Formats: sequence, structure tokens, C-alpha cells
Amino acid sequence: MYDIKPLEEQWVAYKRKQRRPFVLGGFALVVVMGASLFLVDFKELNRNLLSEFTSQPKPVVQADKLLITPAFDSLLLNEPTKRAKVALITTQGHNLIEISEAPSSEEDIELIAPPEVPSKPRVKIDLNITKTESLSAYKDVEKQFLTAPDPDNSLFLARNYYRLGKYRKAEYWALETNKIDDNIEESWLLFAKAKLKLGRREDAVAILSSYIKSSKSSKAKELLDRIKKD
Amino acid sequence: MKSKYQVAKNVFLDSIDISDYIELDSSTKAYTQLKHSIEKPLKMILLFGRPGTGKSILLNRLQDKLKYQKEIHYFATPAITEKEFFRKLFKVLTKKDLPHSTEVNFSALVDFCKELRGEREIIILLDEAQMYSGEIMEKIRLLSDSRAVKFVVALHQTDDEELIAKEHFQTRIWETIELKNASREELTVYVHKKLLKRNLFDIADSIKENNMKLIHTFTKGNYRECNKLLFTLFEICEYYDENDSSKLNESHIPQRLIEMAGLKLGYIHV
Repeated sequence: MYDIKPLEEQWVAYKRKQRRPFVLGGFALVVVMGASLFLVDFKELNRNLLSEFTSQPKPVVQADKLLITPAFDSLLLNEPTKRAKVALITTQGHNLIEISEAPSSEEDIELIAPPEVPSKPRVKIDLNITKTESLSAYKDVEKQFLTAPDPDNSLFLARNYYRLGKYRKAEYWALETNKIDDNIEESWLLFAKAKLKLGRREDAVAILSSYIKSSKSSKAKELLDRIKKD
Repeated sequence: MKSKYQVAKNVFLDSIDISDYIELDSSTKAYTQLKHSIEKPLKMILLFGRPGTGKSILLNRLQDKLKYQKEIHYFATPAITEKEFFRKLFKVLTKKDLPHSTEVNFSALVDFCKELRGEREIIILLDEAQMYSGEIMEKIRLLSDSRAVKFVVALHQTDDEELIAKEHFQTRIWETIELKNASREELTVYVHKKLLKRNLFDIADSIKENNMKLIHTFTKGNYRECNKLLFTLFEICEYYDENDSSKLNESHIPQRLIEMAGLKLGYIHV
């Protein structure tokens, strides 16, 4: 036997070749398992993100309320004449309002986007940030109200026209709101305040007195007392 | 002193030595069948099978067993020419050598055989019959018609050889015996019996079932291939026994060595 060494080398190569499918198979199995685990995690992640997204409207509504409150505070403090810049936040067809200062004119209204939420990649929001020369945003809401009367829209208009100093329009939209639903406190307050701004103090007192009788609203009482004091 | 592996190696030298004949169930069955066929008044008997299935050794055994009872002759290698074949046949039939510068008259030979009918019964065992020409085979057929000469024709089983059998012998072959490759169990018995016949008990014990499984896989149960593989295996064992005995295991043959033998013989490839 003179060729044992080459034969041994051949055998080593043969065993290596024989093991190759098992090694490759094992590697493929690990890759497939890894990919499966990754996909499962990814799906779970997406599901979580989606659930977060679906619960998104809540914070938006909260923001709306929070943004409105300072307006009333400033109103109650009887500082409506303070000049302010108004920014409208539009998202998915809804308008949110943020007031940093009292508005001086329609030209001071600016549409801005809400802050982006990086943890919600699936939320696609088209934001148009434009400085409005006219009150086109309000007109859109007015059109929407005429198509489908919604007290939220009319109250929105009343609230914002009042902030803009358009008291006649504020009075009109507050009345429209009351026609649909006469239990909205804010609407009655806005209606009375608009009357007061228009110089119809008696009407404001009568409206508030009437509303207090039916609702026993503390805010209405407070406002009535202040009007009577002045 | 000879290494035990050297002795074992020589056990598997490929030879048609009747003393090496191993009784197996299948070979015993084939032998019995062939012996009975010879007893019958048949003109020709076909023994066929793949190369290495034991046709030659079976014919040798038959001749060895019956040589004192019958006129039986074994033609191991086919004659190159027709003249050579008839010279051999002439000697078998007449028990005389053909004089120099003479040729056998085939018609006269057929008449001679016809005259022998009832007086003598001559059995001719033709090994490697696929190597005979069609012309010789036709003359063999005519001689068998005399009924004084009976031919046992051993053929390799291939498509061409089956064609020869069909063309020349289909109507005259009354019995066909087929030899097949061994099963794993038969091959195990074959290997063990071969080793035990030479008193190589240790080595026979060291060949385990998994060894035989691999050997059978490589050789597909072919006896000649098995002989080749085991010869090479024990050659490798002999080398390690002399040069690096740490690679040997007295209790069992490492599969690695069988694989190395398989690589050397081309059963497996890198």
C-alpha cells in the first residue's frame, strides 16, 4: 500500500463534502427560524403601533379642550382687546385652535401643523401650513354645517368668531348651536358675551338669567354677576 | 510471519477456485436447479446474471461435483476463432487431438454427434458465451439438436446478451437459471464464511453489522465487487498494522477504512 497518504487526504475531503449538506441545512434552518422570529416580532410591533394609532383621536380631543380653555380665561378676565396671533391647527379635516395672544385681525390667523409624533409611523397626515388672507377655513366649516348641521361645528365657529372679534357672527353661530342643542353651556355663554360686546347688555342679562333658571350653571351665574357689576 | 490482515486480504483474491466456493442459500438453490436441469433431456440451459454473481464458480462446482459421474467439460474462455473452438470440441468428442494442418468438417461433426446419441451424453459448460460469434452460436445450436451434446450457456445479463439468447436459443433453451446479487444478510454470511474457512475468527468478529451495511451499499451485493472491496480494505489494514496501529481497532473495523477502500475503488468520490 504505497498511496495511503493521498487516500487519507481524499477521505478527509470526502467527509467534508458529506457533512456539507448538513452544515448548509443547519445554517438554512437557523436563518429561517431567525427570519420567522423576526417576522413575528415585526408583526407584533406593527399591531402595537396600529393600536396606538387607533387610540390617537383622544389626545387630539384633549388638545382641543386645552387649547380652548385659555380663550375663555382671557374672556373672563375681560381682556378681549389684547392683540394676539391665532394659529389654526388642521389635521385630518378637523381644525384645532391655539391662541397665544388675542387676535387683532383675520390676517393674523395662521394654519399650522400639530407636532409630529415619531412613534406612529403609520399615521399619514397631510398638513398644509398656510397663512390665511381670508377666513376660508371657517367658510369650509360653515359649508359643512349647512350640509350636515353639527353643534360641534357651529360652536367652533361661534367660539372662534368671538376670539376674532366678529361678535355678530359669534352671536349667529352661538344661536345656531342653541337651536340644535340648548344644553351646551359654552354656547349660551358665548351668545350672551357676543350680545354684550355688541352693546346689547340687557339681552345678555336676559339670556343668562333664562339659562341659569333652566341649568343652574355656575359659570353663567358668575358671568351674569360680573355683567351686573359693570 | 504474515500479518493476519495479509492473510485476510488473500482470502478475497478474485479467483475461480472451487475450494473457495461458499455455500449460501441462493447458490445452493441455483446449483440444485442446474443439476436437475442437466438430468432432464434438455438441449440447452441458460445460466445468466450480472458479472460477479457467481456464474463461473457455479459452473466449476458443477463440473467438479459431476466429473466422475458424467462426461462434463468446462470451457472457461471462449475460443478466439471458430477453428480453435472446433479443435477443442473435437478433442472433447473424439478424445483425440485434431491433427496439425487439418480442420473440423462441421457436417461430419454433426453426423458424429448423431451417432453418439444413446451411447454417450456429453455436457459442455460454456462460460462467457456472450463472447462467441453468432456463427459459432448457430453451430452450437445445430450440435445440440443431435441430443448427444448438451450445452449449459453462461451469459452476462445485458440487453445485447439477452438479444443473443433470443435470436439463437429462444426455441431450444428449455431452462433458464438466473443468478442475482446477494442480499445484505447473504453477503454477511459470505464474508464471514470466507474468513472462518481460513480460521480468521478475530477478523470475522471484527466485521460488524454496520460495516456490512456499508459494504453492501458500495458493492450492491455483487460478490466480485465485495471481494475487491475487502481485499483493498485488508490491504489498508495491513498497512496500518505495520506502520500506525493506533488507527486500527481490533474489536471492530472502523467505517473510515471501508470508506477509504471505497474511495480507492471509485465507489464514492470526493
